[in-house]
Amino acid sequence: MRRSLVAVLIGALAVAAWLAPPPEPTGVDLPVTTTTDGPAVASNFSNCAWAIADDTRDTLISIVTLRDADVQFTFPVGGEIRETYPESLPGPGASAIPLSAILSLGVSPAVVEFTDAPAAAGVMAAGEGLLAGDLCPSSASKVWVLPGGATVQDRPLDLQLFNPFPEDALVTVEATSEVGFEPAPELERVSVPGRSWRTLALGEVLPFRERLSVTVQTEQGRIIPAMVQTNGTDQAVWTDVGRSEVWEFPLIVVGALQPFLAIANDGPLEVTYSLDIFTVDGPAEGVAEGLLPPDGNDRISLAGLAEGTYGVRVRADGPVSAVVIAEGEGQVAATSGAPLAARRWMLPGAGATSAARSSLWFLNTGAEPITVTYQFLDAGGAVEGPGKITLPAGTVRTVSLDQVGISGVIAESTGPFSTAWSAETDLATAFSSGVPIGE
Amino acid sequence: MSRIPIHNGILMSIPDHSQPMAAPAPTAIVATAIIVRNESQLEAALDTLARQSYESAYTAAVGGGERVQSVAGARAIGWVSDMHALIAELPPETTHVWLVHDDASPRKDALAALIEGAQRVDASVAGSKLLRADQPGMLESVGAATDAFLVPYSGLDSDEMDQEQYDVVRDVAFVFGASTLIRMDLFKGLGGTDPLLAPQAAGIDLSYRARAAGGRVVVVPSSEVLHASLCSSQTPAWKEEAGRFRTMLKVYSPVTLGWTVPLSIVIGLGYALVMTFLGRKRALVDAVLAGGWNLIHLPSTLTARRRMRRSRMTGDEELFRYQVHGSALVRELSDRFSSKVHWDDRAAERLSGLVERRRAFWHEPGLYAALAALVFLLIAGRTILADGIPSVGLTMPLPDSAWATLRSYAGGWNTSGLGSPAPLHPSIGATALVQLVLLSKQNLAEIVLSIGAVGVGMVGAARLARRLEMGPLARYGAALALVGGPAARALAGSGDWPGLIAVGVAPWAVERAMAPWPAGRRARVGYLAGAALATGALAVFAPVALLLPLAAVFVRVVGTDDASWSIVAGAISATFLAVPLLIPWLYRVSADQLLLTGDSAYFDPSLWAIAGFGVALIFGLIFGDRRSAGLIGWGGVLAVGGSLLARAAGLGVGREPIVAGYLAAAVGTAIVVGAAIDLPARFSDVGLFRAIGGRGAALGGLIVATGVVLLLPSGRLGLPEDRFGAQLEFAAARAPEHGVDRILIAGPAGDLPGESRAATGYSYRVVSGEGPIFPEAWLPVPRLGDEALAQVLESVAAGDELRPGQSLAPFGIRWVVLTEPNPLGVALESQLDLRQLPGLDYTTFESEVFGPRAVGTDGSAWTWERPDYVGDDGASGPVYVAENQDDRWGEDWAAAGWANQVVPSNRRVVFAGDNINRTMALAAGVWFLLLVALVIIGRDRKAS
Repeated sequence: MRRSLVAVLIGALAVAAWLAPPPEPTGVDLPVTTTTDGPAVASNFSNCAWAIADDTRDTLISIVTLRDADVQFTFPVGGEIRETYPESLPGPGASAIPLSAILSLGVSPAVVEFTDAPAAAGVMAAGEGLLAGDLCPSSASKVWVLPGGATVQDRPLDLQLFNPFPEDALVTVEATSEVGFEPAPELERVSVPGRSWRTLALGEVLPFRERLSVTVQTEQGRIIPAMVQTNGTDQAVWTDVGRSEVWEFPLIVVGALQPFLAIANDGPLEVTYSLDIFTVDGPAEGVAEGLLPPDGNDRISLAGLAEGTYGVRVRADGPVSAVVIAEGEGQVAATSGAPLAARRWMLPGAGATSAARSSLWFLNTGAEPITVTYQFLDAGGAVEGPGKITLPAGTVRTVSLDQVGISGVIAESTGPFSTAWSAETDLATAFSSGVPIGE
Repeated sequence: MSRIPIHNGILMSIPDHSQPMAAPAPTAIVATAIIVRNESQLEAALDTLARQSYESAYTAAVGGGERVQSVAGARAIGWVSDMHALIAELPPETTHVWLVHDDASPRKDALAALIEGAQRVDASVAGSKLLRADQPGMLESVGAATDAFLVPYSGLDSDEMDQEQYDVVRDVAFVFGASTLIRMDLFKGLGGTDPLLAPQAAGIDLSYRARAAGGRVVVVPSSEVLHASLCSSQTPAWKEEAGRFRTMLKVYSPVTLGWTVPLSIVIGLGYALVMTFLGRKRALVDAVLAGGWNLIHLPSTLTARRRMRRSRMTGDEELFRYQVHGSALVRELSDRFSSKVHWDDRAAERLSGLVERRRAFWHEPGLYAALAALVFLLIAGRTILADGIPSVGLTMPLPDSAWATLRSYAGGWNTSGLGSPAPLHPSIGATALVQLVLLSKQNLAEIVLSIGAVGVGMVGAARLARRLEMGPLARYGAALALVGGPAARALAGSGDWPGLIAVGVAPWAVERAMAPWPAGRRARVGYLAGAALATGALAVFAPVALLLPLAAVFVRVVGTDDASWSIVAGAISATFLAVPLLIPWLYRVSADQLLLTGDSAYFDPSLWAIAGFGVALIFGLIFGDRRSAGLIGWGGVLAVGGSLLARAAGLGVGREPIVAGYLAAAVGTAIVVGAAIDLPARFSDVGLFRAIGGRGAALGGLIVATGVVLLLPSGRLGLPEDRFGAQLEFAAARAPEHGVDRILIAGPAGDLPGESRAATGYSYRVVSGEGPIFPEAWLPVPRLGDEALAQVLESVAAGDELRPGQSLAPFGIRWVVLTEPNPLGVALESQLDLRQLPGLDYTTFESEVFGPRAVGTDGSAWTWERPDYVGDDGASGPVYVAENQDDRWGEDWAAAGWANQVVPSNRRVVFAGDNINRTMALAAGVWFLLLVALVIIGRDRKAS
């Protein structure tokens, strides 16, 4: 009897032991992000992959901060930190430091660090017949996609690979053009030494391509790339700010330039997309559609889609990269779009180039009207009182920056919107998008 | 018969051979073969043989060169080059062959006596009594026994006189080859003697092969031969050793070889090692030569073994019948030691008792079990013996200074992580105490604690089995099942070193609790103190296992009538008495920390182990007798209940109860296996089904016990391979002048040294730059610094920190080690001040930012001398100390964020200590000494 009871007890314990669940694995099963980062948002550091200062050109490195912050510019050259430059800013405030005041060695990419966030940085290169601007990303992705290049005659295209980190990086650049994938051994396993950079002349490797999109795959280490397109004396510079199913371009064209939309799909599935147009009068949805094969890219002319000022929204059924390029006689400008609509934006460098005519561009793709309040900033903080502009639903507006001496702008509104800014002279044009501020 | 005086005045009888025995009827036709080893002796040998009263039908000299051939021709005898030729030359009518060495002088009637003696007892091989040629009254050999390793044991003293004390025809293990009569058919069948062997080994070889072929081997003492022993003196000792080993390989079955060969090698080497220091300086060389010789001749040995199989008629049991128990070599060593040590009268009396018992001792199977266990431990722990314990999981090397650990234990600074005044785990104090006793020798303490624990555990399991009245085989099975069972292997395999040590202590604690309540007050005090010590020793390594002995005896008493409730009362008392050994840790630890925190491996035994255990358990319960079934049921409840606890991590149960579950499972498995193996021995007159069932249970138990072989390959007693030892040595090599700073290690929780803290997507912990040490195994409750570090890491992993080195520098962290890719590692790919170190086992970053653990306001680093900080000459002023803030770091103390700012005195920053913890630790030490004293007092009473 007792033997049976013991057997039953052992059996019950065995069943309970059998049913006891194993512990949940702790902490290790979260995916390790190795592909692409999300949209760039204001952070406490920025990596400016391309800045130039020599006898004929100079670059303003512009910063905007919401709060009081100490800023440090670091210039890695040839494996070491060549120069550091400290700066203090009140918050909110903005500053634009000429690169030539620190270094004048030609191309000198920089790392900008802030002791407090959110903050953002951008570059604006200027010279005789030159305006080129871009924001500086605050992430370092493993994969970068940069569409919108062209290597037709007299249009040099360079890919700048900036490695500000201590470790050497090894990257492979995959290019696709109108003929499809472009095998190029020169672009495979390219080494970028730590605290240094490397410039790949894509026009020499893959000449005479009308639309060239590159994907930079990082095998080891990290880099920050920038595409530099030259047309005559003018240049355009842009980088990858992420992948999104929706892109907003408040700024398409200024003057007589011909705008294009370059769009790339680096995913394994084909993606269909459509374009919506937003003018000062309202929206026109689905004005164009297209299909992007896997690892494919397209270049669509935006000229003539609408009269006057207009913005574009790209909607796709998969994540894509998108860039707007505007070209004219000896001029070129480009900017990545806004992958999201935010309520607050920073526009470092807006209005900082005194020799150029600068404008702010606002796009409200929402169904409700919004009021955008914009504040001009310089090193002393706010310049004058804030300006305001109302955007009816589905419209675009532009504001001319007559104010000279400002170094950046902060804009916020009652609803989500996107913004960008432009600078132009008679001989050159530059576009730059804004940096959204996280909630 | 004449009588001659010998040295002690006794008259000794000397057989009178002047009147030789009358020749027996010529029923045997004998061929005489003279084995020639020294050509110059042949003629003298032939002269002697010519005087034999029994005439040989054929005589031949075997071996030698032209001179021998010439002598043989002159004397009209045959000559053959070797044994094979002899067999071919022998006349077909020959019935026996008499093998005689050329240095032997048989008395006239030697052959006649041999024939008569052999025929009388129907022996196939008969040997003569050998007397020393230079002193004919002294015995050289009257046949002899061997041990299992074929080492001869004559039983004669070195100068023993022949007083006819052995003069009876008797079976012996072997006869010396100087004068051997062998049946012709057997001689042919065996192929004669082995020409490769030395004289004595050849005799052993021929005798063993003859017996294995079904022949009887006897000595006929009435056949006397004077032997000059030139053959032996001219033969190197190693050749005899080599020959014996070759014979062993030829005659034993594979099963016997399975244990005789390794033991023979171990004993032989041990003997040689000792003999090297006792005057035989070439002993080790001889051992090596013998081994090499056997390796060279292994093909011919295998050929001879195959030939032997064809003529084999008996098993090894027949060979064992004429062997002495134990090892002749060990016995010889024992004799030598005894003769070298001088004892006082009392000691001599005791020793004489021991000597009297010695023969019985050599017959004890426990001797061989102990030797086998020793060999097992040496093999299973060889890596630990060579390199110390690995660094993985809770297995961490002991620090250099045991005293520093004890200072921390006794209310000092807990250096784990970013530091804390929290008391250390009791196992840290216990290991430090052992290390201190061993003169702070780090590796020695690790070896003693690891290999010693396993050895002690095996002895404890065997002792527990004996307490439960199991037979010898069952005890060995229980011992193997304890350390080789699935629970112990899983615990060790998870890197739980304190758990492994607890496995060694657990059977002792249960055994003590199972011991009956003794008579007499002092004995009872000693009993309780012993039980409390054993329980406490278990609990310091596995605190929740404090309750294991009590739970075990409770289950035993409830489940059977064989135990009384008095042992439960004793176990309750022992449990309470053991509690003070766990303070101050137990006083400070919360119930949540004790029961619900910490990771431990999920017990997931292999199917074969479950199957073996299940068969032993079920068959034992069904077919076992009442007592065996009771033991198996008891062990089953412990094993399965313990397994349930060991699998409870998913239910939120913490490490300590899970380890207690593993221990219960290990002890329960040992009991089940032991009782199951014991079943067949307990059966008498049972039915077929029960007999089969009982053997099935025993087989199941054996299957579980064989798990012990899985401990052998790694040489680490089942502990995992080193993960954080050699892999982190880079830190010491790259240390700046002030010493090594801290290392941050990040990876999966179960893949880090000791305990870790969780972050999003990975776990991490901080260790001192020398690499993890055992006092850092457990992390104290997080304090301000730990929270600050968590925030920094969260920021770094989120990609918000471009200069993580600068952020980590205030924590004294110089290196970041990633065991596997994780979000932190992804973030570190894009930062500015951590440089990756190439060529290391793990992805490792080194900070470019100066960030020592302690730094003066003048920027000079202070050196960490665990657990204190020391400044250079002239160092003064406030010092930033990167330990969790505590105002006891100095009188002039101020908080520096989460850390400390201290104005040191005498260039030293010392934590003042927690007085309560210190007092409790000292009280625990005093209590420990008191228990030891009470055990001694109780044992003295028992002895008296």
